[in-house]
Amino acid sequence: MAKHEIPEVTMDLTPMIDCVFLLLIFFMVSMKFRVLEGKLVTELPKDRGVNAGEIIDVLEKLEIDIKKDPSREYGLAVYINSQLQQNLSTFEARLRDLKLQSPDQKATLYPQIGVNYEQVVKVVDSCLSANLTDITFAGVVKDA
Amino acid sequence: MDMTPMIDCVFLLIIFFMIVSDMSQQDLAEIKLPVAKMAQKDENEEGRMIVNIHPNGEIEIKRQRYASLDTADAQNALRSYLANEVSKGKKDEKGLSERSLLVRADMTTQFKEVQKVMQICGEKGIQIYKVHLAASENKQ
Repeated sequence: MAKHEIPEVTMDLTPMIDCVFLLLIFFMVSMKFRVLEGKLVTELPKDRGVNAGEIIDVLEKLEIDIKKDPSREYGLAVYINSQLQQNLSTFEARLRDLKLQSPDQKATLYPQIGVNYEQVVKVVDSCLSANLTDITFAGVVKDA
Repeated sequence: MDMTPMIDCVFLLIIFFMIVSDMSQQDLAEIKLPVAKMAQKDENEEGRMIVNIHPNGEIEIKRQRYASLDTADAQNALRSYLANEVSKGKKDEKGLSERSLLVRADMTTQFKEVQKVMQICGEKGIQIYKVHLAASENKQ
């Protein structure tokens, strides 16, 4: 009986390597590293808009006006119940005092026209730093 | 030539890039956020909506860019996006949505553009009150 030789079988890997390299290039090009982002937790008033008049606040809210003022720190002027605060540090200190006087103190922010997002974030940041966490935004855009 | 080690390496690289490239960040537009020292770590909570606002007031929702909210098209796009998302989630006894909205505005964007988003949030059929402001975490 003749001896049969078994031919050596080789697999052609070239198409697979092509695909794998294409996948690699795709992921390298589309890759975006995770950005370190945070958020400031704020809420809109529940008693405005379609729910107007449903909730009555017993505690008087602080009214914080934010106006554009290029001559000041961060280009903004902050008012607590119409009283101008010298800078964000004094604003924060005042809020701390008020928070100590009434721990359930709430505040509504009134950013006026011309104020940018960064300036409002700075004010919200100061409020949170002063432990004043119950912050809402006035829904209506006020004229300067 | 033995190709096995090379294929191993290439597969490892692919796995690395698949893990590192976060598909959930597709909703995040390229904008510069302001720094806030009290910013909380942003955990991608389930059902959270994201609206991006560019410096010129243009809004971006799920990679789709619209004009500023002064135009009816952009207002309608935002309304339909929010109403559609809110209808999928739970509501409290007052009919307010329990889902939150993250507003990502560029640091130079006028805040009135954010307030326009907030106004739409208060409309009937939407009623989102958990509106969070995106900021960069202070790493100092």
